[in-house]
Amino acid sequence: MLEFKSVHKSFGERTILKDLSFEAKKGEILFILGTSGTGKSVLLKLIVGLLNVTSGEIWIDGEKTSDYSETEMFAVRKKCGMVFQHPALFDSLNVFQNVSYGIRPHLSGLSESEIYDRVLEGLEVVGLGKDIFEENSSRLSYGVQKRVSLARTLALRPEILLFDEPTTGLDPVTTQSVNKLILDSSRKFHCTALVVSHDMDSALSVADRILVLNKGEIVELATPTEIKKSQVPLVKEFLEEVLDRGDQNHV
Amino acid sequence: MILVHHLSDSFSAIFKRPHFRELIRHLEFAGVSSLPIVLICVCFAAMVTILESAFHMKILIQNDSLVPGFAALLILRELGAVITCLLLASRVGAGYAAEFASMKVTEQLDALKLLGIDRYWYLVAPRTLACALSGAFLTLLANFMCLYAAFLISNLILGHSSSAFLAGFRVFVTYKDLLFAAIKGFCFGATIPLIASYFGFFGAEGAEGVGQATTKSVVASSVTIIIIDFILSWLFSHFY
Amino acid sequence: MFKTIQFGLESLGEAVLFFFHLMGLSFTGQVNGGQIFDQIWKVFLESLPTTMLAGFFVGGIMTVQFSMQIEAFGAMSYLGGLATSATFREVGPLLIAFLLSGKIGAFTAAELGTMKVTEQIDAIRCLGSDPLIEVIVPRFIGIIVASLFLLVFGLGLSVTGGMLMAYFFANINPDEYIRHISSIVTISSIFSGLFKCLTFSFVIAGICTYMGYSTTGGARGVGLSVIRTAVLSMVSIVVTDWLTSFLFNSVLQSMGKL
Repeated sequence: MLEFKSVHKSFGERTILKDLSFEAKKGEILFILGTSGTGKSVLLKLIVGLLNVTSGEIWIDGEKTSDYSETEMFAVRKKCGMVFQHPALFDSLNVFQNVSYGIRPHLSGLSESEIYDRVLEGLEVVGLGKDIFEENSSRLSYGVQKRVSLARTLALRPEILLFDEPTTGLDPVTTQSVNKLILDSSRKFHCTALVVSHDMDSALSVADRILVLNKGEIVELATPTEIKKSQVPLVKEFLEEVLDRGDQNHV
Repeated sequence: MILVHHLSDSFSAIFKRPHFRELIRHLEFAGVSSLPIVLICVCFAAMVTILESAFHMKILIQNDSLVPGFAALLILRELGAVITCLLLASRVGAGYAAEFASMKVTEQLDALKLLGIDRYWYLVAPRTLACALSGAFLTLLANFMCLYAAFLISNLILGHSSSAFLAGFRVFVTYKDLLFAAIKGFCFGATIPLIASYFGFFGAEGAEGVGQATTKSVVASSVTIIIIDFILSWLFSHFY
Repeated sequence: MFKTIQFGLESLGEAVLFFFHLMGLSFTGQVNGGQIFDQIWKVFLESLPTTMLAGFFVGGIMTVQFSMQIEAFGAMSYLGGLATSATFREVGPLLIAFLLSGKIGAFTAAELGTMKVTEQIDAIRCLGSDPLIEVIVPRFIGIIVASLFLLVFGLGLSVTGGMLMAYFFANINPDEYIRHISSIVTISSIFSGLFKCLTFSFVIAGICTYMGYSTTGGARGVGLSVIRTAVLSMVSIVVTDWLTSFLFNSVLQSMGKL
């Protein structure tokens, strides 16, 4: 369970997040929607402690993590698997080394065979197999890199999955498969998933609830069915865009 | 092979009528804005040189009265030009390589091609001319600065009087040395953009490519400068 | 101009703090020894050709220059000793370190900068490890050790270069060249040269890891931090060169050897 209690974040004069309070329940897929520059990615980085809150509290499973030190955050970060917008694979390592990076023996206390199983399991969830183990990660196609990146996060067995714009810049077909990955991995490991995106289409098809942000404030927090009936101007704009695209597809 | 092509294109572009606005912009970037850092560095280098040559002279002829002349000679013939241009290679050369590589990543190079502008004429030629001229002038300025620093040190630490310094100086150094130093600076300066543009134009793509192009061009131009320095030193040794 | 100086000083200060933090981490023993060894080997192999080339030509240049000057005194037999001594004590470490700051320093800054802007550093943190211990410290120690070796190696080659040039351009045969090396190059000269190499390798390692690690702003940012690394390390090398020379001279003077 993840909870924000009136979180503020500002860089110098510039306020990014204002008085943000919400909670994500266990096993829930929560989409955070907003236009560019509304502090969506900052929100994710606050959760894993890559940035620190200006004021307010963040609670993860009954622990107040917002004032943890860097060393205390290591354990929390393992609980929160973050999937970056770009794959961020370590390009000097091969796929197996990449996926097993977070669960190497001295970090996890697992044996070699357990690690092997975990890596295979992670790759299978994202639709890849052991034939790819030895590949150099920088030579893979972008779509495959994204999958490996997700597998690397899943290998940690996280309780909360964080996605930073997983479908931005992808073609519709790959977007579909990424959406399915989010759904599958969250269901398979019973983990909470927080997805930052500006893709209303994906949100409507995958999310349990959708949170719409504008200029650092919550505009709307509701289920997809409720969102479709929403009267908030920004939400309507997002919806219209989806409808337009839908019309084009029909023509 | 690409390198030969690159160089021939660059040279043919240099001898066309230059793009004056670009030329002046780059003279400002390569020459004027490098001035402080060059002067600071050569100052320190000159101080080291004079301390070290005092050390050697004492071993060789048991007194250090010839130190000023000797140090001045070493500075004028060698260190002034090399240190100035190695600094230019890392500051300006790396800057150009990064700029060209970024232009490639953001497809600006292709955009130039579509506009029918010769990139060698518009990008390479003004930079090469500007760097060569800045190399020569900075070397001269750096030499004067060096001599001044050497003069101060020999006065304050080694205890030579100013007239002894100047007298020793006149025995060793001629106006030819200044000319040769300027020629060295000119040649070193010209190689920097040629190499930087080569690695910038023909390097790998992406953030990785920018880093690689920059690194490679710094290393390649430094090595080239040292090798050219060796050749020129040997060549000039016939004219003394 | 003041902005340039101010920026230089600020970066230098931050780099020094970062440097001490790394030194602290290096001695806590959390770092994987195999990784450090890999780094040393990698850096050494990558820069060996450059260093050899540079060392060879620096030695050659010093010989050519000195031969012109010494000829006036008719002391050509001292050429070997003088050129070697000058190369060891001053010009050799300086110029080779310049090249290494371009080769190793810029390369590492580019590598770390790329890792930073493609979020690989953040990814390490999110996988529950400390990027300083996983990535930075092994490179830091690796660069120090490898560049120390490289500098010493380069100095060794500079003697060969000087010897060859003396043979070809001043007609001094290698025997004579070497004979006077031992009479002029004292232990303290060699020690001074080695000490310089050591400080330069610390300077290069500290600056490039700091600059790479603090990169922001995409492909442009990577280019920018590479340039800053090259410039800042060259300036710092010249300044530390002066400091060490000054220090050595004063120490020797106070010991009454000079």
